[in-house]
Amino acid sequence: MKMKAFSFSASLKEPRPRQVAVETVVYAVSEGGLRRLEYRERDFSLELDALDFDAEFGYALQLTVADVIRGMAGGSFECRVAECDAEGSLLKVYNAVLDGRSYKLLAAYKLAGQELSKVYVDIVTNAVPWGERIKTVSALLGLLPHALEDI
Amino acid sequence: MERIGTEVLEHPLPKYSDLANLPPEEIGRIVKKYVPVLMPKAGVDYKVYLGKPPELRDGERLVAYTLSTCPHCYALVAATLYEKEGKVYERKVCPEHGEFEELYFGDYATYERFRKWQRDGKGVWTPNVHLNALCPFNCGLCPRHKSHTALLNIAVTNRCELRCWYCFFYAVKAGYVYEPSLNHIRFMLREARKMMPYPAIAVQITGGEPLLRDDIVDIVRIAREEGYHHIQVNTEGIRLAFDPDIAIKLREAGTNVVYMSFDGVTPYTNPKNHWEAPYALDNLRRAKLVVVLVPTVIKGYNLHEVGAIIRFAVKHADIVRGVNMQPVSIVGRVPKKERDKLRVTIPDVLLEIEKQTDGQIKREDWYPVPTVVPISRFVEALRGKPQFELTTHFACGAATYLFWDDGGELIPITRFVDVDGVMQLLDRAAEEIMNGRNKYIVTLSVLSKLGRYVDASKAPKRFRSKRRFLRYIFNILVRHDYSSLGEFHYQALFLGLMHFQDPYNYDVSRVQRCDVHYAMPDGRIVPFCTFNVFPELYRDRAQKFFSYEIEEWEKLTGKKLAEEVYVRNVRKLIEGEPYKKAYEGVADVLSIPYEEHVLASKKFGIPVAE
Repeated sequence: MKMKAFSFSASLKEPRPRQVAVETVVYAVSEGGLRRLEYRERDFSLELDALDFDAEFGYALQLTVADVIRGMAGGSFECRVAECDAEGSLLKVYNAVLDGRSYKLLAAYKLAGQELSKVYVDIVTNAVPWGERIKTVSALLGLLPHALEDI
Repeated sequence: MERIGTEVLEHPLPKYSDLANLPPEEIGRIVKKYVPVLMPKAGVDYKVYLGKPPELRDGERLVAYTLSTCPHCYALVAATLYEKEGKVYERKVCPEHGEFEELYFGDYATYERFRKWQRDGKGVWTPNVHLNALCPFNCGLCPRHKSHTALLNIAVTNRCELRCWYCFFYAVKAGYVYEPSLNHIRFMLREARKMMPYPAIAVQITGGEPLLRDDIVDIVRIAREEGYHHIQVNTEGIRLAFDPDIAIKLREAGTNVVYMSFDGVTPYTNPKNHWEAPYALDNLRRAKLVVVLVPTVIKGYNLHEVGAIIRFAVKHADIVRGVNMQPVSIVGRVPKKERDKLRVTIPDVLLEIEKQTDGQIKREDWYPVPTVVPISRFVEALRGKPQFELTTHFACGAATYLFWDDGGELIPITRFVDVDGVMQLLDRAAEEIMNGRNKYIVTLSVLSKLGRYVDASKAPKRFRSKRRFLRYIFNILVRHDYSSLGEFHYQALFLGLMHFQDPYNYDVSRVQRCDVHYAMPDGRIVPFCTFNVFPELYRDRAQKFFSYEIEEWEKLTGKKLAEEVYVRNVRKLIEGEPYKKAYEGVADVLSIPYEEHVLASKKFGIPVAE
């Protein structure tokens, strides 16, 4: 099963200025630990990736394709799409810098039948303490204590 | 309107009446199952053409790109916003239906001034649907929506006793009766109260004509029981004019304000309720139930009366709390030439208001809706939890507060309050608290500085005590006291503009920030400008799904839909004292011949008792 991960930087002008940089790292859950997945990278395509981009960042970062398009006049957007094969539970870590502030956001996926289902995602506007978040994610993904310490 | 293979939805429930009287939780459990059936379908209801946005032409300057929709087939397309000759336009090309160009904002300078106030919300932490489609075909609210519900609309009927020529929404034309049961309404209201980070607290009960429901008072009571602080009833005012008791009952049940259609001060510009409005105002006055006048503003129709509408509101300021003008949304397939005759945008209305009030209310006196976000952010920083925020798109609405002196001089709040200064002060203070500075010290600092931004000598006489004005601000900011806001409102007239979108000027960037939403019968919550701009995909589809067949409804209620037609007795209305007094000093309506009154009413579609 294919999983996309977006890493990008955007300088958006409209309707309000925003500076966004995100590096996404994807981990497979393996025996209670995390293993970084290998990627195949390609360029971002609006036709192919718009909906996935919204699904990824519309909630977590409050940033949508519509925002990117809107802000492009006089701004910039550079995005790489990494595709990897997923066979089980996954953890995505978004290392984001929004208008000069750094955030580490998590999204957890689990297999539900033949589909990977998002079971948890942080939202940048709700600053739950890091300790609480990793506790929740660890429980959802069956991670051993300390597995999330080094991400 | 041409549709691309619109899906025909069969009625899935044996009868709406089988659902209507179940408990609210049971109704919710059943209706939510139909959400996937009711959602718009890619390739069936709409297509996606995310190509390059249209190029600029000579004399045009790029403002922004955006996503929009084809007015004919609803395809999602890229669009270009550009400035030309001081105005902002939108251009888009549908591969199937060609190019569309529309006025987006009538003044570029105002666009830029407003844009600086854009603030975004915290999103919706409890989305009602999964994200399966591009915006605006995934409502809602979906995980990417940026604003919580500031005003929830709940349509409680599609019946109406008026037969306005342009309306295709009411039950007789639609061919079904949409009238959710009290338990169904309670379920919808509860869904919006579950929203995080901020639940819906304000609701507008709308229709059709909601006052046609015999249980309208129960609906208001239910809204109050479900925790809504602010309840407004949207009406054309006919029943209010003839039934003094209904205004009293509405107020006693918990209605805060009536939103009443009011398109002008003459029979020609307001054939909907020109004759009844004075009587409705009198009955509201007796009931002590305040009203906001809601004109739909159309170029070449009533744009020349926006100043008179404000003067009318000031004349009745004991009962009129505000005027909320709505520049026209053009629905249906309308050729460009015809649209240009109707189209008016927020800056165009502001300019007309400035002209028609002899410069007493200038364009600069207006601010876009998100201007007030720093107040919410400051209170949030103080209280440590999310607050009610008006984070709609800057191009969606504008407002100011108007005061007046005994001599009739109109004084916008900006003449004696430095709005920019106050908001910047609060913004900085919120930032300081969030960065760890002691909130009590910051608050004291804010309070000590606030006086610098108020010039009481320029305020209306009754406001010349700076302390009195600052007390309002203190109560709102520090005590976050809703009654303080109410008290402030009673001293002023709220002037607002809300430009709802239409298929020609559609902008996805705006709808993602929308904070005026509709409760759907299947439990979804949908932005105003998807609910009404794509009725076949949202409003009509869902309402038809949970409706009564006309025959069944008539059998259940013993009423005849076709007989619910208002017939106007013009002669009686124009001879009454309330009518004679209401427009005095605003418009000379008494010199209009009776025949012209009758003609105006009939032309609009409202029959007259001769």
